[in-house]
Parts: sequence; structure tokens; C-alpha cells
Amino acid sequence: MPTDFPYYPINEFGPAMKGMAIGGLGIVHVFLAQFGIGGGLLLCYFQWLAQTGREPLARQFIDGYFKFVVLVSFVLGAITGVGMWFMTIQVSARTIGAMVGEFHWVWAVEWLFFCLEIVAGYCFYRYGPRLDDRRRMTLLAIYSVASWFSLFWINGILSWQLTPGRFLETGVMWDGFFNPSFFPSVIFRTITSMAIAALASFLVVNILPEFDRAQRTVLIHRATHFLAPALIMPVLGIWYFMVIPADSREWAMGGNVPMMMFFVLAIVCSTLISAYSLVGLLRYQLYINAATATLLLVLAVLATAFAEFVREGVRKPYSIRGYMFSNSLMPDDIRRFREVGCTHDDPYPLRDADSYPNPQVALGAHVYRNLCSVCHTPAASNGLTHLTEYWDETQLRLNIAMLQRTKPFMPPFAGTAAELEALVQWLRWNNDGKPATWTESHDEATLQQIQAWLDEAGTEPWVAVAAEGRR
Amino acid sequence: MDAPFPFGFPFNTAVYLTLLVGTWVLHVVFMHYVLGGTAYLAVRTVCLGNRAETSTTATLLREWLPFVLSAAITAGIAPLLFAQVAYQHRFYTANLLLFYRWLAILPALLFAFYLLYLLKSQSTILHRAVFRITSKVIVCACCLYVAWLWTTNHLLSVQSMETWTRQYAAGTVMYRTAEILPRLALWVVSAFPTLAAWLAWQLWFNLDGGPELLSDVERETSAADVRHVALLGLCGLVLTCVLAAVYALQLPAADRTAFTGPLARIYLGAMCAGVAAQFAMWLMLWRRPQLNRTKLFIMSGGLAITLLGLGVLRESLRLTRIVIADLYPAHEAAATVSGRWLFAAVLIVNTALIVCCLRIVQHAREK
Ligand code: HEC
Ligand code: HEM
Repeated sequence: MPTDFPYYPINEFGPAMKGMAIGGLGIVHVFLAQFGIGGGLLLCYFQWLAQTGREPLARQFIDGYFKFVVLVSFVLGAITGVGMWFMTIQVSARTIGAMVGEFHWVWAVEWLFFCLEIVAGYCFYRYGPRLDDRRRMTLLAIYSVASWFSLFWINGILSWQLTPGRFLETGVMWDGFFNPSFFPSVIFRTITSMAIAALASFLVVNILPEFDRAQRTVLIHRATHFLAPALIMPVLGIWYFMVIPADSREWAMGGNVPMMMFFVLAIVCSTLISAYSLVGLLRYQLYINAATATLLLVLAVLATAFAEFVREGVRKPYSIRGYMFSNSLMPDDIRRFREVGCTHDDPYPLRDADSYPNPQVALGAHVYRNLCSVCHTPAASNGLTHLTEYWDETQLRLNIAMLQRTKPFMPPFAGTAAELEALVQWLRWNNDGKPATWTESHDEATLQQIQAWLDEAGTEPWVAVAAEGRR
Repeated sequence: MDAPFPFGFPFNTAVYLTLLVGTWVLHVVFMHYVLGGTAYLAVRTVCLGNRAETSTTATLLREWLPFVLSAAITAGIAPLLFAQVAYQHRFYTANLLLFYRWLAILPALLFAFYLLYLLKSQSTILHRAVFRITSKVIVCACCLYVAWLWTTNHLLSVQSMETWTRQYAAGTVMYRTAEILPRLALWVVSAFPTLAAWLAWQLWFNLDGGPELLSDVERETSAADVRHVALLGLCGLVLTCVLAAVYALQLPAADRTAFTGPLARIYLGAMCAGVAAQFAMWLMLWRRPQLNRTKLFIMSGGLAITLLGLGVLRESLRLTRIVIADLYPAHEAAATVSGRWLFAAVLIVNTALIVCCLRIVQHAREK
């Protein structure tokens, strides 16, 4: 068993859940990145329309649209991407550390594509209008291939987090990269990118002053072609759901109400977009003005947001499925912490040690920080005070000792019976409105009862136990 | 460690450290343009007011800063990756201790970016002098803030567990140590020779019927512009040497051996030669302000050696402050994962494609 657990200084995000911080930034980033990727493909299509004489307006549109790709996707996309990295470090440094350890060469390759992307993109941005068709197409093609490949590489790493597949047995990087959900998600994201690019183009066409209404209608109709692949999204969705773990699937399908709602909302938004736009495709004359275009884009942002929440959510209790839990513990750490405790070797003290009525409550706060704070806050979002307000002491002890059965998306409790009792006292003290004095509880029989419950619950996460049962 | 960098280390450690230093130097090439360029614009606009707008160098900077900032960020991603492989626990700990101050890098960069695009545009809002001046000062402040954070993060990452826990317990996100200011000042002034080199090339490509690869500024380049850039280079070099000495002198003697020990000694020597080469070329250009290929290449070669030396000296200072041998097993473990050949192959292909893009552009400019 490992003895040197890498302790990190843990920050609390105030009232926000850490997942919300990362999810919020993730949505912006994913949306913008997909706009950049789809935008490249859309521009290649328009360049083809232009140089084959199919669409005389296409060239003008490309130069206008590309400015938006640069200003939005290059700038915001790049910065939010770095932001995602920094935020992941804040939430779970050990998770990103494991990902870097396993995939640093893939990331290094992705970086090479970033470099190519900004060079090709910027060359086109500055010199595109002066180039002949063949050279324009070359630059655009390089740009879009490079940006699509950045999706390809990162997709392998992100899908590995949910479905590591054969990697868990072989430990081979490529087994992890080409994992079961790799292909459905890379195709899904490509199609989403195309759809987002088309929706964005509706807005851009309306903003660019050089076109009149008839011309706008023509361009919008052309761009609508990029929405057509969205028709196979349901099939991809089903494929994706077939390959993800059964428990994750069940949560999204109703096992967890908020998760299911997000899932349904994602489908509703996507369906609304497709339905509206495909009617436009069938009825050539349908015109999409700036307001409608904005509305469609907002729906797309919402669809992305809901889908990202589901994707992040269904991974619980893991940050890397079957490998590392959301609170940065690995299965071996849990077994070890059951014996030595999760706070015993932690070099980082409590920041507010003086504000607790006795050392036991302070210990409880420490246990909370190390084991629970990644998903909970004391009294705000997913606040433990609200969740346990009406629980009595025994109920608290039992439910926390069997944390993975209380809710299967929580990891097993990883501490000693004494630490658990301290956590219970900290919760009760919180629920009581933090009185100035609080008696410690050191009842031997209680500790033995807790230990018995801990032993009964075991150190396997319930998702694993349930999977065994199903077989 | 008694061999020059990176030879004294086990193979895998050497590979990751070399990649870290190499990609960091690439980051510096762009970062210096941003840091020096924004500082230059800010100082100029504060000192000269309206007259600041009309120079070729200012125009060039306004044209190119947004793109080079993109490049600096993109180039920064690779050392960010390799720093994590090489110094994982330390790097993350420093990040976590700085917390929201660290995360504030993002809004700072975003702000700088859009202000730079605005300054580049012909927006009417820029007709107001107040706006022109404040926006340049703000952009510069944002970049300085980012540089300051990287410096703080670096210095915090080489501290001991005692310092970290004390810092954490105190609940402050400010990390103060006397070393930050001289180190940051060194980064700022050392940006100017690099900036001058960039500007000289940008002038060159507009000059002499050169292939005009880099710049779009439709202006006659005069001897005055060249002299101006040469002066920037000369002053930058002198100030860099002075501040490097100040920085080295305020270090504890034990740390100073990082520069003169066997790990970095050769690089220090090479750096002196590099600085001398740059100095000589700038002096010649200042006396006789006519750019030519030979001078530019010698000056840039000197700069390249200097920056590489800077990277190695910076790394060897870190290596004397921590026990790198503790990290050998982690590097060993990291090296077992596959992908390095893919990286090498893509490096070649993508470099070729980048060259292809630049040639296409060159064609456009020649027309
Ligand atoms: C992987 C993230 C995660 C971790 C780590 C985690 N929880 Fe939870 N916990 C959740 C989620 C999600 C819920 C569901 C909230 C809801 O139903 O509204 C939950 C619910 C709860 C509930 C209410 C259960 C119920 O039936 O109403 C309690 C009590 C609780 N957690 C305590 C803890 C404690 C104590 C810890 C630390 C030892 C912990 N949790 C660690 C995610 C987590
Ligand atoms: C305006 C933008 C930026 C400026 C002015 C800047 C400046 C600096 C400076 C001064 C250092 C040296 C710190 C020291 O050793 O004391 C540095 C290091 C570094 N920078 Fe940047 N930087 C910028 C943006 C970025 C971005 C966006 C990234 C990441 C994507 C990045 C990645 C790095 C890395 C990885 C290091 C090395 C850290 C280490 O080895 O400890 N930089 N930067």
C-alpha cells in the first residue's frame, strides 16, 4: 500500500461547489472551441462554393466570418482552455497530475496542433483577402484540420476519464486513448461543432453590413446544410449511452432526478434547434433574423451546458473511473486511511482552527475538508447542513459510515471511526448553529458500532459492488 | 551535478528538463515581445502624449501585439505541460496556495487581449487621448500582473513544506519574499533586447525590397527608426546586465553557485558571448543605421544563445534549491507511457505545414 499520499493545500470556493466552477468555465470553453472547429469546416465548405462558382457571395462571407472566429475562438477559446487547466488543478491537482502522467505526449501533440492552428488561422486572417483561391483553400484546410485534431486528441483524454476501458487492465496509454466512448463522442462533438458554426453564421450574416436581405437568405440557406448531420445525433447518443457504465446511464435515465432533467433539457434544446432549422432548409425562403439567430445560439449554449453537466455528473464518484475518486483518493488510499486516518499525515493545518469549540469538532472540519469539500459546501450549494438537518446522531453515523450506499455517487468513507465521529460532531455542531461550547464524544461503544458499520460497508464503491451483483 | 545541463541527469529526467527549458525559451521569445511591447507603448504614451502615436515602432506594435499575445499564450502551454511532468507536486502546490490570485491570470489576459484588439482597430473611441493613454497603461499593467504571478508561483514552488504550510495556515494568498521584485524587474528589462530584435526584423521586412514576410505597416522606414530600435536594444542590454548583477548579488551565496557551477558555467559563458554579439551589432546599427541580413543574423544568433542561456541558468537555480533526485522515480514512471514517437513525427509534419503557411503568405506579399 502506498505510504506517501500527496497532500495538497485544499481551497474552498465559498458558496459554490467546485464542480460548478469547473462546469461553468467548461461550458464556455467547449462552446467556443466547438465554434472554432466547426467554423473552420464551414469556411472550407464556403471556399469550395466560392471557387467552384457555385456561390458568388461566399468569398465575402468567409472574410467577414473569419474575423469572428479569430476574435471569439482564438482569444476566448485559448484563454478559457488555459483556464480549464488551472481550474482543474484547483479542484483536484492529483487528477490532472494522473492525466498528465498518462497522456503528456498526447497533450504535447495537441499543443503542436494548437501552434499550427494559430499560424494558419492568423495567416488567413491577415492575408486571406489577398490570396488566390487555391492558396486560400490550403490555408483554410490546414486551419480546420489542425483545429479538428485538437478535438481528436483532447477527446481521447476526456472520454478516458469516464470509460477507461481496457486501460484499467493493461495500463497501456493507447488502450486508454481509444476507449469505448472515444468514437461516439468524437463524432458527436464534430457534428455539434458543425451545428454551432452554422448557428453562429446565421448571426454573423445578419451582423455583416455588406449583405442585403436577399443575399442573407441565400447564405443562411447554404449554412443550414451544416445542420443536416445533426439528424444522426440520436443514433450517436444511443451508441454513447450503450458504452458508458451502466450506473452512469441509469442516473441520466432517471436514477438521479437533477441529472435526468439536465439530460432531457439537453435533448429538448437540440431538438428545438434542429426542428426549426430543418424547416428552414425545406422551405427555402425561411429567413432567420438576428434575434432568432441569437435565440438559436442561446439554445445551443444551453444544450452544451446541460450536456456538459451530465457528462461531468455521471462520472461520480470518480474523477477517473475505476482509478481515482473525485476527492483525489485512489482505492488503496481508502483502505489505508481506514487504518491510519485521512488527517493524520496531512501537513496542512486548518486555516480557522481557533473557531471551533473543541479539538474534536476541529478534527471533523479537517475530515470534511479532505474527504467531502470537493463535492459539498458546509451550508451553501449541496450544503451538508441542509442535507442532514433533520438527521439524528445515529443516522449520521450510519449513513456516513456507509457513504457509498447512502448515495452511490459518493465514494466510500476514507477515515477511522474516530474521524467519522468527529465529522458527525462537526455536522451536529454546524446544524446547531455553531454554539460556543460543545462537549466531545468519546464513547467506546459508539466507536465500535461505527467500526462495525464501516467494515460492513467495505471499501469498494457501491457502483462497483452493484456491477458485480448485476453480472 | 558535475556535467553541463542536461547531461548529469538520468536520461528521462534530462529529456523532460530539456523539453521544459526548450519550450520555455520559445515562450520567452513571444512573451518578451508582449511584456516589452506593452511597457514600451505605455511609457511612450505617458511621456509623449499625442506624439506617441506616430512612430513606426508604435504602429508595428499595435499591429502585432494581439497576435503575439496569442502566440505567447500558445507557446506557454508546452512548458506548462512539461513543468507538470518535471515538478508535478511543487508546481501544483504553488498554484493552489496562490488560489484566486492565480486564477486572476485569466481575466487579466482577457482584458489585455481585447484592449489590444481595440487599440489596433480604428475605433472612434480611440480619438480620445484619455482613452488611448489609459488603455495602454492598463494593458501593460495586466501583462505585468501576469509576469508577477508567474514569478511568484515559481518562487513559491521551490520553497519547503514548512513555508507552504505556514503560508496556507496564515490564510493569505500573498506570498512575499524579497526576491520577487528584482527577479520581476530582470524579466521586464530583459524583454527589451528581444523586443528590439523583433522590431528590427519587422523593419527589415519592409525595407530594402525584402520579402515583406512579417509586417503590413505601409511606411517608409527611415534611419531614425533603425537608430531608435538600436537604442532600445543597447539600453535594454545594459540594463539587463545591471539588473542581472543586482539579482545575483541579492541571492544567498549558495544559490549563486547555480550560475558558476558545472551545470550552467558553459551557458553563462555562451551568454556573455551572445550579449557581446548583440551589443556590437546594435552599436554598429546605431552608428550607421542601415539594416542588413548579416547584422540581423548575428544579432539574432546572439539573442538566441542568450535566451537559451537564460533558460538554463533559471533552471539550474531551481535545481540547486530542490532535491531533484527525489523526482527521478516520477520521471522514470512518466517515461513508461507511449507517445513520444508520435510527438516527434507530428513535430516534423506540423513544422513543415507551418513553413507551408508562411510561404503562402510570402507569396501574397511579393505580389
Ligand atoms: C463525488 C462527490 C461527493 C463526495 C466526495 C461526497 N459527496 Fe455527499 N453527496 C454527493 C451528492 C451529489 C449528493 C446528492 C445531493 C442531493 O441528493 O441533493 C450527496 C449527498 C450527501 C448526503 C445526503 C444524502 C441523502 O440521502 O440525502 C450526505 C449526508 C452527504 N452527501 C455527506 C457526505 C459526506 C459526509 C462526505 C465526505 C465524507 C461526502 N458526502 C462526500 C456527492 C459527494
Ligand atoms: C502576457 C502573458 C504572459 C507573461 C507576461 C508571462 C511571463 C512569464 C514570466 C516572467 C515567467 C518567468 C517566471 C519566473 O521564472 O520567475 C514565465 C514563466 C512561465 N510561463 Fe509565462 N507569461 C505569460 C503568459 C503565459 C501563459 C498564458 C502560460 C500558459 C499557458 C504561460 C506559461 C509559463 C510557464 C509554464 C512558465 C514556467 C513556469 C516554471 O517553470 O515554473 N505563460 N512567464
